[in-house]
Amino acid sequence: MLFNSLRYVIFLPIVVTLYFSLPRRWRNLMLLIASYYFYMCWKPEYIVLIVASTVVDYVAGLKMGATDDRRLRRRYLIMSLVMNLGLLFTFKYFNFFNASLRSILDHFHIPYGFEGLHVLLPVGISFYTFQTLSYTIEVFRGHQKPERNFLTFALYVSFFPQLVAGPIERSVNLLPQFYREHRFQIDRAVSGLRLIMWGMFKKVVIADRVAVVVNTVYNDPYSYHGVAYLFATVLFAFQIYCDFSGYSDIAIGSARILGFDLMLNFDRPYYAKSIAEFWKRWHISLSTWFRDYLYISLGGNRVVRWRWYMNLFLTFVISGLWHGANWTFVIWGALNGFYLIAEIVFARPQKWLLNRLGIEHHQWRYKIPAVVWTFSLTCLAWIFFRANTVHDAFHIVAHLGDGVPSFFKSLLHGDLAVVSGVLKPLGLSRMDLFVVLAMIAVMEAVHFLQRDHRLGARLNGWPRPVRWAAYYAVLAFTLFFGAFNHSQQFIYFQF
Amino acid sequence: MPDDVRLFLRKLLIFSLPVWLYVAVVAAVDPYDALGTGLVGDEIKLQTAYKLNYALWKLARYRRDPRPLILLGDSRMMELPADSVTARAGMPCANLAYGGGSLREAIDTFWYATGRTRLREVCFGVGTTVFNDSERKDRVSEARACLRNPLLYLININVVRSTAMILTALVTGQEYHIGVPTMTPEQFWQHQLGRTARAAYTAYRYPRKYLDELSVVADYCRRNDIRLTFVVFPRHRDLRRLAAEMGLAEQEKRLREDLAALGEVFDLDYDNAITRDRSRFRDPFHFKESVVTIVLDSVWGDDRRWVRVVGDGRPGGGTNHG
Repeated sequence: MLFNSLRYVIFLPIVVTLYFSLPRRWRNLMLLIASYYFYMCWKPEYIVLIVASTVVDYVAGLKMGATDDRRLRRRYLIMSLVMNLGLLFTFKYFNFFNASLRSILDHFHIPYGFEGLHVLLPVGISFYTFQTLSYTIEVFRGHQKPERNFLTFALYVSFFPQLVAGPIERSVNLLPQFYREHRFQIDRAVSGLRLIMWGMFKKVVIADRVAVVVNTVYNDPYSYHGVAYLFATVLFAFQIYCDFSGYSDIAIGSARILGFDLMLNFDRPYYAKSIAEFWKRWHISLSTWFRDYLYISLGGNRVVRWRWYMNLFLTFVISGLWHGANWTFVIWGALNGFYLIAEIVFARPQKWLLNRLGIEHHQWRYKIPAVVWTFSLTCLAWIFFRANTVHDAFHIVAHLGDGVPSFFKSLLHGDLAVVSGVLKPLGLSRMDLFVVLAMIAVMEAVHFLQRDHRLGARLNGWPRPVRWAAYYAVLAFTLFFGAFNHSQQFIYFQF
Repeated sequence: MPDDVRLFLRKLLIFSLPVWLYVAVVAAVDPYDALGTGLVGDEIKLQTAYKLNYALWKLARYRRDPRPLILLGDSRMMELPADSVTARAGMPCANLAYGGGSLREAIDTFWYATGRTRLREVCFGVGTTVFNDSERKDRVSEARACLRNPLLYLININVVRSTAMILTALVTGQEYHIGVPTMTPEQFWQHQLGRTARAAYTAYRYPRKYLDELSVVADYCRRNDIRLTFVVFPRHRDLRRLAAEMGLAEQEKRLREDLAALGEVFDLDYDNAITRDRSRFRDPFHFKESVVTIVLDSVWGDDRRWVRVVGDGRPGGGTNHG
């Protein structure tokens, strides 16, 4: 079930009504049934995978909790890792590695006949497997008591707002919330609905509109040139942000109405002044997952310098692979790892230079160029993330500057025929272009107001007519300018 | 029911009142007659809704009254009156061409029409601006979605704009002249040549992808005994010259040949007395009434004086007798 569908608009109020109407002891069962239904709307048989993952991790947790023998506990942890990573490998990575192996063997003229598995990637598999893994790892580390109630644990794995695309919740945060009695609260409902509305705005007004240009260029890159690549890549940066953060907003908003608090997943990432900061603001639930369970397990920064760099690099490469079974994602991860290492290596000279220039804390002279520089690096990496093949990605990178100076020259001279000649093949009318740019500006204005995370509180302080006018405006823009007739699936569903 | 819930529901109801009001107003106006609930006449709708979205307007009507002969293309094809075609062809005709139309829209419209009735004849209006891979405009899928789903119709931006315009016109008596140029004829001529045509020709890409889709259309027509014709409308020689200067002459020739392999091609766009005569054009693209009659007589009559027939006149012919 898609969040941006009529089905969800009907589903959510029914779930909320049932949840608050039922006696407390039936509520979790109802939520579990609703969550399974939510998932089964896509492909009913794949619910078996969630149930299998749930059962194995439930048992692993109980077994680990029942013994102090570290070796035995490790064995149960390995059982959980094998189960979850095995599922991931089979459904997500097997065909990728199989195809890679075949191309290597082809290169050496060694016959290899196995075509691969004919399976569909289960929606959300990367998310729920990582969520349950976090539970078993925490139990193994002794930070989390084993959950004895199977129903509660099953709900933790499959809680519908964040089941298919996160945020990847930690058991220490989410599990205790299933034991609390949630009362319907108007403030929470209003704030949840506000978040859902904002998420929908980002998704259907910006992400889905921008998708037309991005798909046009990236699905047929050899028919376009520099300006189109540049334009599509910058738009993709906004598309993926609006798509994914929009999803997270709807997830957090839906959970909030029900009385649950999910973690913040995006914190205005394109305001980051460095790549390190970007990764503290982008897909926070995944970044912290990799930090806590992979990077730190590898030794983090408490090792010799080259190992530290290796740990960082490896973490990002694996994070890239998590996003998709394609070398494009691996390169994307590697590129981000490289950026981060370069930042560490050049941190001292950079600090020295900024001190000498006296601009380190200067809003305009340092912060804005730093934000622009970070955004540019991120966009460069996004090319690999979005391109269909590595070859496409390198072609785009190699021709990114082609025709750009002459385009801007035409723009400066007001030669609109050339501008329109470039924009027309991208599938964007002047009206679409205006709407997209205006809405991105509106979103960034809201981000600016949200910089102290108190926009919600400030909104509540406004007189009702003004507040409602703002709601009506967002609602009207979403409904009238949303790309509903060619709605796209959420990008992160494929991960 | 707890007090909090009751209060929330009351607030939600009050908040949603403008939404219900909006729905009631749109249903009462129904600018494209898609819901069948409209209380407003066609005159004002033709000034507003029709001009804002030709596809939605025409497809809503075609849904109610499907016809076996359809005309597809852009504003030049729109010039051909359906009644005149009906009289000459001997079967009911619907003009489903849209101003600023694209081949994408024409092909989608064709498939929409096949789903509504048994077609007997289809005529595509051909021009370099329409048969162009860079022209991605697609109002038809939006229109089809609106006709399929009333909720999408209610929130369609053109429905909103048309409703607002119609209400304004009803209240204030204001008249709308959408799409009517505010320049002098000479200025408009130069604008079309220097701005519109140049932008379209700069972005021109041979319609490989669309020709593949058209060959599927042609196969369907062959199998279902549907006459498939292409009319290459005359352009004024200023425009023909611009296309040649921009290196499109060869591609335009190739397009005619490729189309001749799919159906009958009636080519009026060559150096002849029509294309040399400025008085027969409103602007370099758009011809006047006298040319409309020539087109009608050429395609649906026996008068072939002005037409360079490409191909052998049989679908899938392809031999140029030009």
